[in-house]
Amino acid sequence: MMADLIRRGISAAKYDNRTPLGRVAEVSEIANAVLFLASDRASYVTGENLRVDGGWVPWANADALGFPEPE
Amino acid sequence: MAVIDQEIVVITGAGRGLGLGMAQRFAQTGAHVIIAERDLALGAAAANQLQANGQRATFEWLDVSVAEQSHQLVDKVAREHGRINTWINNAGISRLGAAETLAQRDWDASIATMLSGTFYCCQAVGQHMLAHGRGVIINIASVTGLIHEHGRVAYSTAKAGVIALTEALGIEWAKRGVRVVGIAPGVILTEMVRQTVDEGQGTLAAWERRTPMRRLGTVEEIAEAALFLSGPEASYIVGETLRVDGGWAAYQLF
Repeated sequence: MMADLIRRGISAAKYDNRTPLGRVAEVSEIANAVLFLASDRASYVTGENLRVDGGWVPWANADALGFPEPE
Repeated sequence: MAVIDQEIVVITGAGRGLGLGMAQRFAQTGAHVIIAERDLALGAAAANQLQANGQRATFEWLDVSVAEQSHQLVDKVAREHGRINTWINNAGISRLGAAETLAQRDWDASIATMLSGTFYCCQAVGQHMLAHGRGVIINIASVTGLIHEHGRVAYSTAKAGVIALTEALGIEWAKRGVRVVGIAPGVILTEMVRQTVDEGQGTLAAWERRTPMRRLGTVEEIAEAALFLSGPEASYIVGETLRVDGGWAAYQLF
């Protein structure tokens, strides 16, 4: 999916910069969360959507709008 | 002989309940656990109990509502152990009462301990962790910070604040190697919940019926979530508060 976006000319750096952690995720990082949720270690976790997003959702990133160029 | 790469874990309010359970779980992994506790007797007993099991634990007196104490403890642990890998903000109190008549001291104590106390500790240990470019902070929130119940206005508001704090610090420090994450436990059978029952503010049977899993959670289940969030398995989880609530918050009653 990411590779598809890159083929369409959207740089990976754009996503890196939008993420508070400063990089896109490794596939293994999602896999590790899946492994935890599927295991007995998460026996009281149900109905929950665990965000594994490097801080994406709670960041407003207002700076991305930029500031007006000085006259 | 010192273990070279031993994890140093500080847990506030670790004298009993969730804090003690997390201390036991982390100690099992070989970590050195600092029991940071306001109650001298509870804190010393908890450390003794872990030591008696051959585990590494130290008791340090800490009242999280006094900002200076957090800074002093961070300095002391950093001096003695050279690092702090994980810091868990768990200290909490329950002050119940109808919102319109809740005593100001109950409101103030709730906010001071659970919201301000969590921030003071985050700031103190955050400075240390940022300087080293690594570390994990876990804030214990509550499902009560997400959906509310009568008589818990101070607790709810403090815990909602903790969830917001976790997001704010999570995004602010993410790029500098410090992950800030949280756990929102549902109803767990601890001394605090027993106290609530004793005060006539709920029954275990009612909470069990309210929970989709039809049972209360265990201290061990929260400890396991904390262990997961503290480790490399959770390396891309930032600013997130994991609900460990048996489905409580996802369930709407009619």
